[in-house]
Amino acid sequence: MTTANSYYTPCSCNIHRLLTSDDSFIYITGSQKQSDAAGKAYVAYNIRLGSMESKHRYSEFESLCKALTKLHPTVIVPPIPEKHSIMDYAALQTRVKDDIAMVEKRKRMLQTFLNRVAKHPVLNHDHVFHRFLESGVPWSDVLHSPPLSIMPKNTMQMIVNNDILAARGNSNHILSSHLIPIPSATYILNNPDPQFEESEQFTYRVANYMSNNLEKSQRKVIRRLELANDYAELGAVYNGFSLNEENEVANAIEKIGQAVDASYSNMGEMVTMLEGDFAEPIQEYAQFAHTIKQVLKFRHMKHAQVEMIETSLASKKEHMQELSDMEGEARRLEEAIAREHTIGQNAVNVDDINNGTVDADGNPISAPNGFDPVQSNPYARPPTSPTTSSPSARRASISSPARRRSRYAWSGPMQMVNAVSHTIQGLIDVDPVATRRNQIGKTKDAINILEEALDITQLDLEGISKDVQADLDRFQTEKISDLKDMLLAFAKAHIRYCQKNLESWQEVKDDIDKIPVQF
Amino acid sequence: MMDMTSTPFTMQPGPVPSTSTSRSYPSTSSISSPSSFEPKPVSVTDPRKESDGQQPFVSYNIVSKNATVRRRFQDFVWLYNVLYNNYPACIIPPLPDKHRLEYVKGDRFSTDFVEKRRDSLGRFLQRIARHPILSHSEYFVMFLESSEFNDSSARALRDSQETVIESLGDSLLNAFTKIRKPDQVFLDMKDRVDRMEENFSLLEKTLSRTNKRVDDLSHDYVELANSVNGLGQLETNFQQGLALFSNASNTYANQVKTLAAHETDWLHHIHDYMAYHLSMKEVLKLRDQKQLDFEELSEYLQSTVKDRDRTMHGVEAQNLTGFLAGKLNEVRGADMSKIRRERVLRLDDRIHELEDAIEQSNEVSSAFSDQVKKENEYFTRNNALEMHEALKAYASAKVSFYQQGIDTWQHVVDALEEQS
Repeated sequence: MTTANSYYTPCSCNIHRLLTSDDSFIYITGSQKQSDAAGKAYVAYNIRLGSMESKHRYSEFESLCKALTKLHPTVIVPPIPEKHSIMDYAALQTRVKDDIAMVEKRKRMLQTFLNRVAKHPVLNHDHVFHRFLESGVPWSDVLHSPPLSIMPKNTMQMIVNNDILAARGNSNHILSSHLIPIPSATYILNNPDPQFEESEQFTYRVANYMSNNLEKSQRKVIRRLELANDYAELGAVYNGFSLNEENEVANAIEKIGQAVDASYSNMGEMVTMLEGDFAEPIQEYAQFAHTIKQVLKFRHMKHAQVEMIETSLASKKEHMQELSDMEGEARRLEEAIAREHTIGQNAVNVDDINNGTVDADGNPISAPNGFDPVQSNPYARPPTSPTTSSPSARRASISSPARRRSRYAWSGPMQMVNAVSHTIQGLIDVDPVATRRNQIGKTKDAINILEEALDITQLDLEGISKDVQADLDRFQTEKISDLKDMLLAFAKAHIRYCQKNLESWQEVKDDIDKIPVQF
Repeated sequence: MMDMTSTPFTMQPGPVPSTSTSRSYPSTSSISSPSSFEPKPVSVTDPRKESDGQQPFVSYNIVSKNATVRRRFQDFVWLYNVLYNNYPACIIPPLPDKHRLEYVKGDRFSTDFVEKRRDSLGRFLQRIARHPILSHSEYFVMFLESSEFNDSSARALRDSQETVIESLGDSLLNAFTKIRKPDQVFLDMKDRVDRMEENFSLLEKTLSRTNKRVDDLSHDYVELANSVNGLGQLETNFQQGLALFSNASNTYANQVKTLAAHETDWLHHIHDYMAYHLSMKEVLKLRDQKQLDFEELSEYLQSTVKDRDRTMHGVEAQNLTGFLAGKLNEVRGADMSKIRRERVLRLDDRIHELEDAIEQSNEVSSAFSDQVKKENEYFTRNNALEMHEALKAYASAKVSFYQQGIDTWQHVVDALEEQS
């Protein structure tokens, strides 16, 4: 993966070495109740990697997750277990913090979170992550030092790709200019990338399915299995029964009681295995969908930003054109007055300009080209991508001709306003020529900034699209692998359960055969 | 109080009292000793719906060593009644419940109900076949082998043999008066049956609850299978693996359902087992009644003797009535000594009658008690057999389920691990 990030330098400190060594599994070894400065109790989780130990509470995990998401907007950051809901509080009699099953579940899921991060080719180089794992580093320190302390509020103001920065020898601030638009969440793309649209749809469908359908049906099975408490009662009943019989019959019935008791503990074991290795991953994957949504949204917004810059640039250029035309006309008038009756030989057919088939200089305008969607992998990209064409050609081709405004005042209300303000300006202005010259200068500067920003953001968008695609592919592979592991775990839990019960019932069968049946 | 002149042991005149083995309680065993008794195998098969022109009914095939015949439930009822009447000291195995809900619901031809009935009727006949006395009863033989069973004359005869069955049992046995000299053996037997009853009803209750859950579980696995399959439609590159898992879950669901069916069978066996114990309890009550009769007769005899002695020695009546009667007689001028002599004579007669009755009652009571002891043996032996069969079937079903379960899921593991 190429991703590098202006706020992020891949770190290969000793912790990274630990993560890539053989003994690289991160364990959450235990939990303790502690009190914070205000005296309120919380649970601290003990983390161990190799010989290194650290301690963090849930809110710090949450904070880490948020930080990684901000630092790596093109990466699908693994989810953490959700906060305890009102439902959880309502359903339990003890306090949620005290409930052993809840704490165990959190431990498992937080451990899974850390290990997924550790396995990620980009995230495992992140030093913020390293510092989380490091012993004796309070999380507040990490929050208040770079890079977290210097990140811009809005990710749209970030340049994601380091290479671009290196090429420009520039700081990030160009995107912080007031001229650079920040798209709103509801912005609809003019030319959405069908590939990524498809990916979004696919992601939602799978996530919905997971959380509605699959989550429900697997929960039913596990809940039903949990009612193995019935078996404990049954075992006692059989034992009572055996006391009433004699010799071999009594033995056999006693053995049944034992087999039934064993069923109870075997069932409990199976349920625990299923919870950890089957049910929880399904919950995780339902959560992953949310993260993917965010990543795709980021890319979408960048794309939106590019479009908005283009639009802004186009309008500025038009404005420029108007100004320079006026400038030109003024000059021609002067010349004409000087030459008395020359007609502008550079006059262009006004209608052609209005229809947009010809631009202000009389050049014909061509139509844009489209994208071809292809897929085998639902997230897969087509091999030849139109994103490799040169920036300037794209600039011309992306803007839709329909949006070009008419030069003349009467074709729309905006034009009316412009015309009115123009007239007013003319009325107020002491020196329209100087004002116009001033405006031309300003507009030229704006155009320069916008052009540069457009360049950067287009390149960035290319990089972002590539990285997002790569991480989607990686995620898909990991998901399939995880799904396979889940199915295997489910099957193995059942095999183990059946094997143990088979043993006890075979003993029963043997004892039954010992019952003498003569007549 | 029982009629003193005839004991319940006398045989009703029956059609073919051939061998001595048809008598109920020979004190010397002309019956083959238990160890060499070979029960004839008998089975009930092939239920078929038939009609006698008026109403539909179900008939069953009865297969025994010497014959195969068709009988209907009514015929079983006759057999039960006739055995009950003629062998009161024997534990007659009970019939499956006649007044079941299925009658009310009109469901008495459903496969489930008919199958359960067939099973219970088979058990009924097997229990009789295993009983050294009952199995030799000509009624039983007739039931198994007679080809004229359905003739109208045979039917008429049978109608006369049946008496109303409810009376004998309930009216006498309701009050469980205390016996003076209870025999520990019988107390133990009763105790055992009571405890058995308790255990069984608890077992039945718990098992039906867990079994319902097992049935529901089967549906849950089907739902899971569908869910996983649905996921395969979305995650198309893993569709094969998911479909494989889905199939296994469906297969497992079926296996669970089969297990639930076996649990139901086991429940059914337990129910029949419990019913047989209740029959045993009734016989114990009857035995107690016999002993009670004897004890009450003895008491009556004692008080009568005392009465006579008192009268003889001129001790006046102790109570008010006697005193008034005496006074009245004085007034009438009756001859006291003559009255006394007549009274003594009457009492003597009564005493003789009582002595005879007591002797008979004693015989009856002892013979009954002896038989009940033997019944206990047959009962226990039968139960061991039944338990053995039922437990074997139950344990086999469990073993089979777990073996199949392992295979089903192992298949998934092998297939998925191969797909690397």
